[in-house]
Amino acid sequence: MSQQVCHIKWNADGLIVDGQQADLLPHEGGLKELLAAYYKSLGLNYPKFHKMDNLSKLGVLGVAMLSAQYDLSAYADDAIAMHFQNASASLDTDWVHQQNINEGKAASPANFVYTLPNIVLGEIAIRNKWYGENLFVVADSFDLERWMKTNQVLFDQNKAEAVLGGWVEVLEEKFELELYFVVKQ
Amino acid sequence: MNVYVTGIGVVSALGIGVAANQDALASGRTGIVSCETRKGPKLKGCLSLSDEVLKSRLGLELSAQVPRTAMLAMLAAEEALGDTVMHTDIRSGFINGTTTGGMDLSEAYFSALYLEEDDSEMVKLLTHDLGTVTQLVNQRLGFTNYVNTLSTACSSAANAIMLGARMIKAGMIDRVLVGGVDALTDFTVDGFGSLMIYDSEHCRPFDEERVGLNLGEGAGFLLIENDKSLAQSQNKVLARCAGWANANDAYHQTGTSPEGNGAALAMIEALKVAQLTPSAIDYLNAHGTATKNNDNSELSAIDRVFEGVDVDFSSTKANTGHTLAAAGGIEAVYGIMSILTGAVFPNLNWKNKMLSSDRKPVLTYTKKEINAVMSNSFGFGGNSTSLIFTKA
Amino acid sequence: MDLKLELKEKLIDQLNLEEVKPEDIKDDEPLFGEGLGLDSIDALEIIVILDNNYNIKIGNPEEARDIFHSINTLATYIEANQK
Repeated sequence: MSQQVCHIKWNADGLIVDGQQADLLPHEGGLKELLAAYYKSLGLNYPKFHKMDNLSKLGVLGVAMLSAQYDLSAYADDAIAMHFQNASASLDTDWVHQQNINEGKAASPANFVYTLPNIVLGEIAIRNKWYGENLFVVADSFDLERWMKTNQVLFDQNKAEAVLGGWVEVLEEKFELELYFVVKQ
Repeated sequence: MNVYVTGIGVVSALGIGVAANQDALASGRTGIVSCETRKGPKLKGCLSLSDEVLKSRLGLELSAQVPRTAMLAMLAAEEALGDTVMHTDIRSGFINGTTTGGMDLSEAYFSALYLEEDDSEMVKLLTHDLGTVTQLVNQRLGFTNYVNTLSTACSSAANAIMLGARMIKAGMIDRVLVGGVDALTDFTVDGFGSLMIYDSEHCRPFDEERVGLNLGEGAGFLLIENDKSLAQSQNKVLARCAGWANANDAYHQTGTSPEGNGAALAMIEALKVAQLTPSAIDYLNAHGTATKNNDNSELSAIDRVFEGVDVDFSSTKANTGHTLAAAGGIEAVYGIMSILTGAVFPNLNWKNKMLSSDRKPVLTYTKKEINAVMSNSFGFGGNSTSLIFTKA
Repeated sequence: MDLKLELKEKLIDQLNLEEVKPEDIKDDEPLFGEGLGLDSIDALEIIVILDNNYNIKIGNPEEARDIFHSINTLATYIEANQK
């Protein structure tokens, strides 16, 4: 069995952290600027953040918000598994690389390294020094039941004490994060 | 609960099917050849059959919109499935790992659009995404209980195998086809080019003078079953899926840590799951991409995990090229072929021992009894997976 | 514009050094390691910047290590090799 201890839902309509609804932070511009506003308000001192694609930024910020709610440092560095789903994989970033190819320009290595959906897991792992399991699944929409079922497999086999993840989706200006933290009972 | 491997299927630059791949590996042949691209010639591990030939081989209409990725997967998946038939009492699934999806057709559209200003083929984008490839393949296979698409870079197929094995072990499914596929695309060739890790010559895994990889394409799938499924299918057991583990290297988006922390964690945990000691591993099919970074950290991890054990290891990427999401599937099949034929496959193009380690890979096709093999797959994002298969 | 200032602005823009201003980058300070904290991907990105802006091609990343030491070494190399 497992217990859900923290839930974050974040999209254009607002931010809900454990049932507490808040308006989005004021910002000028689009998603990039919105994410930058949260970076500032969370007081993250992590210049590498600015090099990430929006998908990775969204995931890293979500986990930072969750860490502010719930003490994750009590877990061993390989005890938290990460398990995410989304629909568009890394299409938002793939498109930039594809455009470079289409237009015959030199590919940007800094862009290419984000053309995989699981890089967001890598970025979260690097920032938090987590060596646990990572899984990234592509699905039409967030399937909470399947997500929990897969987590149960991890818990049953003593592979993780907690699972962090859910849905992390970015395509152009549209974004949606649904982040859960569940612990083994 | 036992996890039996009862079917294997593979497509790579070495050919279609287990037999063709076995012959090529045993004779030390490479499938990597020089191919023309918009940016000049590149060495790639491509299956030398056009989309049209693949379609006719699969009995598909020439006009059907099926990405090459899906066709490679169909060929390998159908070989692995053999004549196993679906049964309503057997909960069955299909887990596919891929990163390129239907990108090969999307590129054909973009190329027509940008070079010839022809926008008539926009419909080609409809098969772009990863899940569509899984669905197209499954339309032929007919799995109903669980169909899933994983995308964790170059460990995708290995993670699909791990998830399937675990679901069997947890009693959630009885039979599952697991593995992965990727076709060659300009997207990946250009991208690895921009990272300056694409060798303009044949790649040289674990050689001190190595400079990078050659990309390849292909698919590799395993059919795995529990006792209940086996009683119904009456399939022959080829091997057991005995150990698996995934860890994050938590070091860099694409580069691996110099010590190979993620790799070492995955290998140690997989041995634990299989309840084997390092000396029980008769052959290690390494990730061995031939990039400076990977081979250095992988060998450093091997040195730590296999301390005092002279394990036979090689990379088959100089034969196939690095097939990205498919690599873990293709190399799992090679590992099981190693058990079945009692042989270690040679590491091609090796001349100079790496300075950082005393180990050198197996250089000749060597017959010996193989009871346990380990297969490593490490992906961008720090995603590190190790699998262990044992004799039936 | 002064080549060194131009380079600093290009680096800040292309390498997304959001919290850095041109005057924060000293001409003779190492760009990698301690200095600006740039990494291997940034080095590859600078190779692309040189190609796109100055038509300078660097084929071997090993070669780049000395050239990319500081703004001074980078500017000297560009002045000597620009076509």
